[in-house]
Amino acid sequence: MSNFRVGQAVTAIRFYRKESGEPDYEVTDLKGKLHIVRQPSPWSLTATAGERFLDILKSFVPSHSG
Amino acid sequence: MAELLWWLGRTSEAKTLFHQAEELKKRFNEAFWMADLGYFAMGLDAKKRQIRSIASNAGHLLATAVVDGSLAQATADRLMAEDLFSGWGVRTLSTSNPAYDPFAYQRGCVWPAENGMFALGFLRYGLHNHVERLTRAQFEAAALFEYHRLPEAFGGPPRDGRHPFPSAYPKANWPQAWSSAAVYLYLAALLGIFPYAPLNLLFVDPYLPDWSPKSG
Repeated sequence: MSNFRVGQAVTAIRFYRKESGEPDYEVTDLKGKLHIVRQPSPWSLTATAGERFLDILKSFVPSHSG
Repeated sequence: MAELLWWLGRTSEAKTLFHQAEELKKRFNEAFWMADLGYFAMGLDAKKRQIRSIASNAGHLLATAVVDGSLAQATADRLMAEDLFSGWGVRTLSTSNPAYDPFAYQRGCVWPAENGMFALGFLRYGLHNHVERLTRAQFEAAALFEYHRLPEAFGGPPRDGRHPFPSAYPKANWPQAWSSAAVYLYLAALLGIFPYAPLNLLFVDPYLPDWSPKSG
């Protein structure tokens, strides 16, 4: 996904599945201020608190934040 | 609208609209929910009685978040039941309705544009299995049309041995802007994309199904 604009920021993100099948993403380009956070929808019926917490932690990995 | 007004600094109006929306949501769920059918009514008649036709309209409710959390799973499950979900997409009307016609615009064919909204609705409530099932069906349908281009609508016959391809809808616009846009809704649903510009935020939550390519 390239040239994706949010407000004044522009980003490119590569989404992929690992060999294990687990989905992941890599921020390949970021211009401007944008916090890219992995989080289920606030309305999600299936997301657990633990999942949400882990996802936020994973978001701080450099490849996930640009 | 409440959110827009909030970020424009019109906080008093924003709060008023927010509370009105909460009240509307409560009243809507009470008035339109058909507990015996586990689904939302198509509308209310002049005497405020429920119009109990099972149609695709309720899928849009999921996309807008007006559905109470306790009713969302049942609504989504019902939307993807065999009488609505043809195997290629969700029909506009249930096959069990006497007015059903697989080649009628609002009484049984499949609109890719509204199926895109249904995918977003499933994403909203974290119903990834339904996202996967619906997007796969639509992508497989697209693969069978010339240029992989989804038309404005296609027929509602079921996907089975007698109907191995999506049925052409007579005089469907093709190409058509709504259907073109639907592809991006499917991608947004699969990638879990929620942008929120006022806070410089982009939420992502990819659920890539096993039919999507792997790469390390």
